[in-house]
Amino acid sequence: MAEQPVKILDGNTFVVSDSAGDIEASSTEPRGLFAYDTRFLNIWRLTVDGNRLTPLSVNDTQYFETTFFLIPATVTVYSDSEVSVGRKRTIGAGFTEELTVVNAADTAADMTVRIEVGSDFADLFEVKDALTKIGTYDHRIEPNRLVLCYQRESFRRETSVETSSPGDVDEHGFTFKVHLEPGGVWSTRLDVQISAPSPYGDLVQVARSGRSKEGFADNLARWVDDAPKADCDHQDLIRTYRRSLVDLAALRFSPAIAGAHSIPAAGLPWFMSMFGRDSIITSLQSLPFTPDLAATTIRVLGNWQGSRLDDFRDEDPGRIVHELRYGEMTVFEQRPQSPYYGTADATPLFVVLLDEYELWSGDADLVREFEHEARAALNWIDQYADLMGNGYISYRPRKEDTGLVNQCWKDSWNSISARDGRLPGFPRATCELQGYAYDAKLRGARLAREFWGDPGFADQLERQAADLKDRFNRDFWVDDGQYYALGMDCDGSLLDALSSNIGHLLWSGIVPPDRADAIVGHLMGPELYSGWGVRTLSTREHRYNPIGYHVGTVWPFDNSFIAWGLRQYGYKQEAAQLASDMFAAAKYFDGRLPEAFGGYQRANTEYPVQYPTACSPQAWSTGAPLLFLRALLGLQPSGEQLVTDPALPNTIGQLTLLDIPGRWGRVDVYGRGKLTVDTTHRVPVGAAR
Amino acid sequence: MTDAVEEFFNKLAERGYEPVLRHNSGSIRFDVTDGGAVDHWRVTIDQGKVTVGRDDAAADTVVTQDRAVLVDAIEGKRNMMIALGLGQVGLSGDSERAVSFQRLFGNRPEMATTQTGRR
Repeated sequence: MAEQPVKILDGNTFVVSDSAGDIEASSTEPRGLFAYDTRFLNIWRLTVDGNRLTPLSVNDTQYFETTFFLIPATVTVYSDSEVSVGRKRTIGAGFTEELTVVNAADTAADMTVRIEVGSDFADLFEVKDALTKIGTYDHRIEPNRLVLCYQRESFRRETSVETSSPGDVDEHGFTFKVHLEPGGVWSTRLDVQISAPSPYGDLVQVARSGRSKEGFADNLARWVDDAPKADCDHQDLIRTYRRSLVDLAALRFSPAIAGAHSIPAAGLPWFMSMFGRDSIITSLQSLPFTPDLAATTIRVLGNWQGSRLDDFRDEDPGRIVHELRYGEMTVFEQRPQSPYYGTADATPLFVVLLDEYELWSGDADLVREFEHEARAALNWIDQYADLMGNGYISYRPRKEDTGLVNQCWKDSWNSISARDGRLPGFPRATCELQGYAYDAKLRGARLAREFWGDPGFADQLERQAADLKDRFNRDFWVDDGQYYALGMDCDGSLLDALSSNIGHLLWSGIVPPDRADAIVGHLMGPELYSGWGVRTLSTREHRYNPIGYHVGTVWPFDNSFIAWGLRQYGYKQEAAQLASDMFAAAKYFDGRLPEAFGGYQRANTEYPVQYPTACSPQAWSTGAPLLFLRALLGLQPSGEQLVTDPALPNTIGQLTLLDIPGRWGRVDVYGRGKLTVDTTHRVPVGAAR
Repeated sequence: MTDAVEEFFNKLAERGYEPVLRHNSGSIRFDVTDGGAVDHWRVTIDQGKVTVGRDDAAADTVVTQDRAVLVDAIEGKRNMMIALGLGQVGLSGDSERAVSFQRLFGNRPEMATTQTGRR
């Protein structure tokens, strides 16, 4: 098994190194010091007398700080090392490293300590897609300081490394001649600073100026303290819950030039950036636990809402942002993320989040403050998203070479297909988008009636929603399969694949009660249900691949929304089964659910197979256990009260959640696992691939 | 002769209210350099109500750029995030207000010919 990289992060600044603390990135290896979508260090290598060091242990219990304990690599099990090295690394605007060498011998020792330093200033997209650079490199040597530079036209980025102890500086690093008496200790502090200088000042300073001065440790402690306390017989569940809270804290991110607001970033390492969909999804999942994330997500996404027509960025008035990047390729318009608006679901989900947030928090002021943005989002659904002119949200990239071909959460090129594998043309409409639109209209109607003083608009939205539900149930229903098609092609024909998207339709409430049994039967049936959860695509489909990113894998976030939907339609047993299986899967990943795992039948593999290049931690996987807990405990705001209706699997035992925050103040919920669930998942041979 | 910058701020002053600035109360000043000269456009915002002045009094947010850069931005030809990344714009103070404000700038010019759907 490959060595797990060690990561520390602060918003969109992060360091990924090996377990000795060294960074040795190839052009395609996602290791280094990254900030603002640029790799500011790709080489950071420590040697003593020319030899690499061997890790004894790594303390990485804090996401913003790591300490590496090292010995010379030449030491074997037969010889104790008399020299040991510590590297304590803390993230900031760059990072600092306290380097300490201890001589435990009875005799004095002389040694050469060397730090190799290098930067390729690669854009994160270049690392991901193995592209080459256009600009030029340079360096400056100052007393005890090395500055590495990159310039392309007026775009300039610099990495400065300074040592607190005197040493020899050359263009590739620092050399220290160290003499240690018996028991002696030598140390230096290496300060790595990043900058984006311009005639108008340093952009990095601008970007960080709104940040809180509170220390990391205090902030994390307060974050965990503020969240509800979980108590449970099932220790793995407690571990997963705590892991989720800490990872969610780590993934909080203040978008540069968005002030001090923190919203969930999407995932490490590729997606430490603002993503509309990911921020909304994670905020929805975590509302009962960390409601402030929802408020800041609404503020930030509202402020970045599309206001003009721009083909390159797929921007429309009212459209919620998809992705914001700061790297070189974005700045030179080789990529459109400045920001890019090509998402078809974030806009209706923005309205859903605003309403759900008010239901929990009672924060009417925010709903009034964002009336203009919510109305613009509702207007976008009818005015800009109906590209086929048939009353459904559909999408297409206006620039096919740079825009996203799939603008739903399953955004890979082959994710949307018909049963026979046929890929659709443009525009195309996926089913869950229509569910989101339906839900957004109903929730928008409530906001219009209760907060905006506009009952006429509320009536109009409710009529539109009722009409949409009727049409959708007529147009998207696959009669011979008794489920909703994955999507609709540009010619109006159905993309009749069976997919997990039908679970989102339960959550949105667009499924009539008399069709719910059929939908739940598919979700929990052998073609979609793997034994760990619901697959993105049924095993019967032509494009099914158990390790295909969106065509057969199981996504924890997807399943958490399905569980919420199951509870809304009264399917307690099925929701408990799904949550029980997901918490069982989390055990195999130290309590941290990955972005996705293989769709292999559980009975065949016994353990969940992680998708190879999945992000971890990833925000909406981090949020998934929280939404599963909500589903299991049946938490639903009703007026000024929190209604609870626990329906727990017998694999969990007793579960208490204390101090759930909301408009009711804080309340406690207690539940006992009474529902018997299947823990073996033995299926008849041949029932599923 | 009025240029695009003057026209933009004059029209903003005439409208007197901008819903996208409703979350903002404070001020933003644009320092526009042109050769050796610096023009100031200072917008005071009170929950979306705007007044425009030409003084260089202190503001919560200050955006500094060449006239050509601001003209391109107003006309939708240049994205302010990109100009910032390229070091063509200086930004100090409350950067969130600058994000709100740039939403008032125009459509990207090629748009008129490429729209589809029920627009």
